[in-house]
Amino acid sequence: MNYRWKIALLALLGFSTAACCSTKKTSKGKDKSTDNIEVEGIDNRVMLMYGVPMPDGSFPRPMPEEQPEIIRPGVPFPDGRVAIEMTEERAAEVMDKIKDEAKAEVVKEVDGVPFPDGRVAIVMTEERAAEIMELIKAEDAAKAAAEQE
Amino acid sequence: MKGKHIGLRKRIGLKLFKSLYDDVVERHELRTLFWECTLRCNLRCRHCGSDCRTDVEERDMPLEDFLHVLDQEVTPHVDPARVLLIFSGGEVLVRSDLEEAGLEVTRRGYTWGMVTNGMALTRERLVRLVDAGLRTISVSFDGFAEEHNYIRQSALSFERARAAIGYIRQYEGLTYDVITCVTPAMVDRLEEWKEFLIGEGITHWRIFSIFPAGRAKRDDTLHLDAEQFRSLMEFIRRTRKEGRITLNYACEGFLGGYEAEVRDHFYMCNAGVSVASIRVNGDISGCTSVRGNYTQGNIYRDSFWDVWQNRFTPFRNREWARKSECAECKVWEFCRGGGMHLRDDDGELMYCHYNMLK
Repeated sequence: MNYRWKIALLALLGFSTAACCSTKKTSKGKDKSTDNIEVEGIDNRVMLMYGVPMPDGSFPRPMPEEQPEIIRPGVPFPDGRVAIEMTEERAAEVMDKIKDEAKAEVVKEVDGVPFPDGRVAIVMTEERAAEIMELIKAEDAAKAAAEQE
Repeated sequence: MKGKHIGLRKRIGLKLFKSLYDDVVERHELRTLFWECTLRCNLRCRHCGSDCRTDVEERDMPLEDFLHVLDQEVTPHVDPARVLLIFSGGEVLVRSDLEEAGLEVTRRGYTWGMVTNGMALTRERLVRLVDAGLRTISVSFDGFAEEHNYIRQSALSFERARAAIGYIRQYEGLTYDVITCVTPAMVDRLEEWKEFLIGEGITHWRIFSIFPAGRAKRDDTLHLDAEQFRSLMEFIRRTRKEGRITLNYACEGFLGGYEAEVRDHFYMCNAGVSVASIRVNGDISGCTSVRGNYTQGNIYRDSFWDVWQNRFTPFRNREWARKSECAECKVWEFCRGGGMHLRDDDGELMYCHYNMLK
């Protein structure tokens, strides 16, 4: 039994997503040529223990026997938009921006970052991070002392 | 309530899936590559599988070493668009050159993502990371302040993680999920926690439970008993039926009657099959959750691609694991001894999810 039959059978049994497959549907557009059969991705997450979800909403799966040629003008966003193609110039530009921002952040006043609900949290600066580390160490020391007692 | 019992329809589905999975193993196409770029961490979580610390002796892997492997050993053999790179740690945000790393792999055509505890994620840093090609991110969020801060051992971690998720959620187009490590203290509060997450606007959620490795091995307050585990499975199943938030259980082990009902797919362990990792010291292994001694090579000594193609036998042929409690198990053909991360250095199974479903 080949790959497609197995997928079809799994789909018949109600396990189309469980089979790690993607389903095919015919485009409802005006042009009904066979070119318009498209693969519809299923919004599945990667279930790796400490992994991240695949940007296209899929997860590692058996690949179809005939793999489509990939046209990759830029880095695709999960919603189908395409980011600006990363050229040498663009990379240099972004790196400059990152360096400038990093420099600016050093002197930037800590004014808080709003939560979605409107409250304000303290911005995580290098100094604040160091403070947190000190707090954690102090907590640990206190705990160790308590355990010794 | 479901349990170990597998109905006929599911059994046929599992048989079909098994043969599909055999093909995947046979082809072992690299789809996910973890880069454990640091073992440094700004927290010291009770359940940490990496046993990472704030001041580790193991230095971070230099970016150029990773890029060298990528350029010489990976890119020539794969289509970068089909391989997801995951930066993991330790806590990846402690690396100040993370943006540079992201930019470099993006220029090579890879998509990358990262796992974080959110402590050091500011809105500005997130913008820079997305500019550098970040497309997917997972944040640990283990419960309400009391439970989360207990596990993370920091009074600030809940609010920091919450803020980080807030920034991420508002970033249109960035794929994300939040990961909850369910401990006994959270089992009875899962409904409440679900409502909180939905209220925060979170749409994708992943749950895992503790297995006895790393620091968690020594901490009994983290382990679910059989009844709690079953209750967790029922909760996930119920929540998925509701459809208000997308919820999945992680790839931990075979779940009998719950297969395909608490995850979008049947159980499979992709470590060493489609998932590889490069550890901070250069070791080559399956996924980073595998802490046992299953290292297959080292980038400073071996060719990564040669290792990926020609070694990894213990990952791809699990017959060696058919011993002890697995020897006579009737679901072996579907489970194959559970996830590689559940095996200790001697190859013994540390935890059986199927047997928890009494």
